[in-house]
Amino acid sequence: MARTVQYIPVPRIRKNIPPPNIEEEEDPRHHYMLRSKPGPSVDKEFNPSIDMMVNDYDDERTLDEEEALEGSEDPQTELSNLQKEGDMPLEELLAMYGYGDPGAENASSSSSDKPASSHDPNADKDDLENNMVIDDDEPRKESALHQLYNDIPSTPKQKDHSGASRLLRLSRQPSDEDEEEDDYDYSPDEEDEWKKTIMVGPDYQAVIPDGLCKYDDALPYENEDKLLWDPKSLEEVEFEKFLIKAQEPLVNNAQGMSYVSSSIPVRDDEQALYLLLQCGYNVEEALRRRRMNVVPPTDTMSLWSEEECRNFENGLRTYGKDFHQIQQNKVRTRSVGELVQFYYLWKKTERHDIFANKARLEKKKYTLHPGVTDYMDRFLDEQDIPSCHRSSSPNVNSLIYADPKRQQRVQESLADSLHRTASPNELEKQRDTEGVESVVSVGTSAGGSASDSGINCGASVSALNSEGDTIKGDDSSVAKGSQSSDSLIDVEAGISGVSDEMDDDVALHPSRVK
Amino acid sequence: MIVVLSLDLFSSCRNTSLKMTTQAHSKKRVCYYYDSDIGNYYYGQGHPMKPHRIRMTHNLLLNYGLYRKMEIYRPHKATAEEMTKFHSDDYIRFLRINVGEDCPVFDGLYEFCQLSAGGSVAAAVKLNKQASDICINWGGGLHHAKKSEASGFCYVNDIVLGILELLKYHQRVLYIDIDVHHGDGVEEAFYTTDRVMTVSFHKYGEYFPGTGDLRDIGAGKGKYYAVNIPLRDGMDDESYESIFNPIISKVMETFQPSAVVLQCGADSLTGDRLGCFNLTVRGHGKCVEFVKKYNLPFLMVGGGGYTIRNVSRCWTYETSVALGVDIANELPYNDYFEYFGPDFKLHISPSNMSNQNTPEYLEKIKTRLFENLRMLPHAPGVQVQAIPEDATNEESEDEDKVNPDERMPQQAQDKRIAPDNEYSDSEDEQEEAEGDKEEKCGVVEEVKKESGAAP
Repeated sequence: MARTVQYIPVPRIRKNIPPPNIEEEEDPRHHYMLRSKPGPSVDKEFNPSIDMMVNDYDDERTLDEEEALEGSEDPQTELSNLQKEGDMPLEELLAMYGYGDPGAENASSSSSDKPASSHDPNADKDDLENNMVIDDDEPRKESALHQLYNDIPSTPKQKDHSGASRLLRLSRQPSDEDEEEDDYDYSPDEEDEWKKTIMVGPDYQAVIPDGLCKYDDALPYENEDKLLWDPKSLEEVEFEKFLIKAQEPLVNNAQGMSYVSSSIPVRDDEQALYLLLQCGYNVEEALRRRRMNVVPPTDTMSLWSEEECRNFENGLRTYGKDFHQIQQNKVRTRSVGELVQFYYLWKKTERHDIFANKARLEKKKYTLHPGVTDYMDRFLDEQDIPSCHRSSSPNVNSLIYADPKRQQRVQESLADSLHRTASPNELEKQRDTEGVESVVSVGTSAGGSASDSGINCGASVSALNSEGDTIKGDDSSVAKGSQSSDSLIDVEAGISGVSDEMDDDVALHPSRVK
Repeated sequence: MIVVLSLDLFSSCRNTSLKMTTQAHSKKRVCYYYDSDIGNYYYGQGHPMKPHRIRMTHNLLLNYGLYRKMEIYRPHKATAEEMTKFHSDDYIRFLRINVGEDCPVFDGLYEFCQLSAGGSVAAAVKLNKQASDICINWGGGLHHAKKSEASGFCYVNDIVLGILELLKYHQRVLYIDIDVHHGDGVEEAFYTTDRVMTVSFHKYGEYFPGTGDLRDIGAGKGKYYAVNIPLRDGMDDESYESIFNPIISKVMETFQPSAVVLQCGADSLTGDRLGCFNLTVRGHGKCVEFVKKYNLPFLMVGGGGYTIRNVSRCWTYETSVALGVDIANELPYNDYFEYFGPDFKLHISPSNMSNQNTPEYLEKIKTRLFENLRMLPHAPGVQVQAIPEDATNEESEDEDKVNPDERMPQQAQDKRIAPDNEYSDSEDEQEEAEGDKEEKCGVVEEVKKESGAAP
């Protein structure tokens, strides 16, 4: 081999013994280090051109050869051998490789081989540290290295590892300090695969325009940010009054809701506030417009039909949470975004619990013939799709708001709020609202939230009213079935069984995903 | 019974007095950027990143009645032209065509990036125009994205774009990152400039993204302008405060930024699906509180956070901190109420995990970073006199108003006193004597060497 004197450490050692650490090969800095060294030399002549030294000379040939050799050895064995060797005292290690007398390494020899001034002695020293072993066929190399070793005044651990020197590693231009910290990074116990480097160069940094500038009248971008609400010119109390009033018509529409004079903070209603803003904070005008238009026509989440719900669930069963597939094959009446939105509401409903429980049972039943039900489902459902009528049954969006679990929460939170009025802190907080006739219904929260997610408010309130009866359609029996406490327990058990597959929000796997 | 009552009285007294003191300074014009579509993006089955958490936060804000207190914007969608202020043209083209148009799996991902980036840029412009004191974009904070590379669920770096916008009006911008992961994308983007200081507190050691070593301090002109605080598992509120407050104080003092960006990644909370810290919502929020006290134009963005119920708790609370409004621990009923069971409270408790960050370890890091910060010329960039007069006024006002040490534990203050006094004098002298920044650096370095021997 011509490269007897070459001091790129790894390839030379590779020929004879395991590499210092296979993992190091994966580290980009390592490659960089190799690249930043001067290139290969011919025989004993090592004369890297200035060009080679200034630019990152990449010795592809060497790397290729090295990689070819790498494959011939079992990495595991290599690693374990290395580990053993790493733990060995130096003397033992030398003895193991036939250098019984450590003192012999002091013997000076053909250091003239090496253009010592033009390369980094630390690299060689590291080299020595990592592998005190050199091919018996190349004794001269060994002595040269030992010579260098002795020239090194201190161990890498004693060096200054301050950030000041280390950061220069990032620089693409080799420099003295650069090599110094190569040395540092190269010590095997410090080198870890997980470490990454901040890169420096025009491909990595942002271009920062010089100096400061002023916007003229034009914004720095074309599209406009849409102002939806600005609290500037009204007192908080006014908003509160307005919001309460804004919700009144909805409450009145719901037959016989019980009015509760209460201190429940009124929920912000985005649409009502937007209306108020549009009306130049004219409360009367905003309320007038709002009454004219009780059911906003643009509700994205309005009125999921029973059919859509069912198709959605079928889709979930078939494709998992691939909402794009579900949209393509099951619920063409909705956008993917709507499906995602629906999913997050649905998954905390009783309907989900039933679904999950069912899925669990089916899974048990068909473990031996996986996929059979899916094919049948798909076949049947594909025939179903065209006959989808979204608003065929106006009550079905009660899926969300008539959900027994939710209703329970509404009641509880109402009770909580009432309870809280007893505490002095709360009273203080509600001073704002004193004097206002606080009329808030049980439906307020649900009704208000409906406008956020776009669900028809009136319908949801009425749905709340009528308890479990509202779910019409084929599955209604299932929904009702769960009302009894016994079956509820079953359902709960079902969730815990299925949640691992179905519900990755809840599962807390401490996996370290990137 | 009596004891309980008196405790109650005590705490309520304390609360009201606190409220009074903070509110004097803390009534801020807060501007909030949100697009109701942003929660609809879905990264894919089993993917931990769930934009839905932003919608959950939004829903809580509505139900707490915080929405009405803020100026609300639906942000514009950032165009490719805007994004290439930082990112390479090829990369953005790749995103738009391969991910945006051709790849249905990432349906809407490009739009997601547009909204996220649009929000942060719009917020920066708003701050530049001094039309708001604090701007919030929970859809932003995607701090891993690189100039030509996506990384760690981040495709477009809205933070870098926002900071670049702030740099039009601010000579120096401070970036602080309390995500559990290192803010590598932002650090890299500004690694060689002295106009942006990046300060990141993060888990370091066999952890994504693998950067953020204590010794990575910037390069070229940006040397000493990257600050990394590598932490171990189990950081709790107390430890976090003990390192966050003194470091940020020191950074404010030495760097003197005229605007701050805080990345509020919520994966540093206890129980995060990907995180390994033990912070509570309160402890996390204290960082916001601390930064807010400096009364600088303040951009708050989201970031990581993979246990979505806690993310929305955290960002809701931090919105209330920005507003200077107390909100009840009892969660109001909301669209996603079921997610917050079984307790349905705003605040969360730390777990019993052990904290591997010993006070000694933290002290050591702090000392080391203080040394680096001492390398800064006292007021970098003053040679550029282009700052409009209102900006300078703002700074001097701030110094009067803010006492950053106010909230620092006495212990930490004691520790700081010696080194501060020791070097501030010599540094000031240098500043008077030397006009040139380079030379200043050299001299300070000498000072440092001497000090190395002293203690």
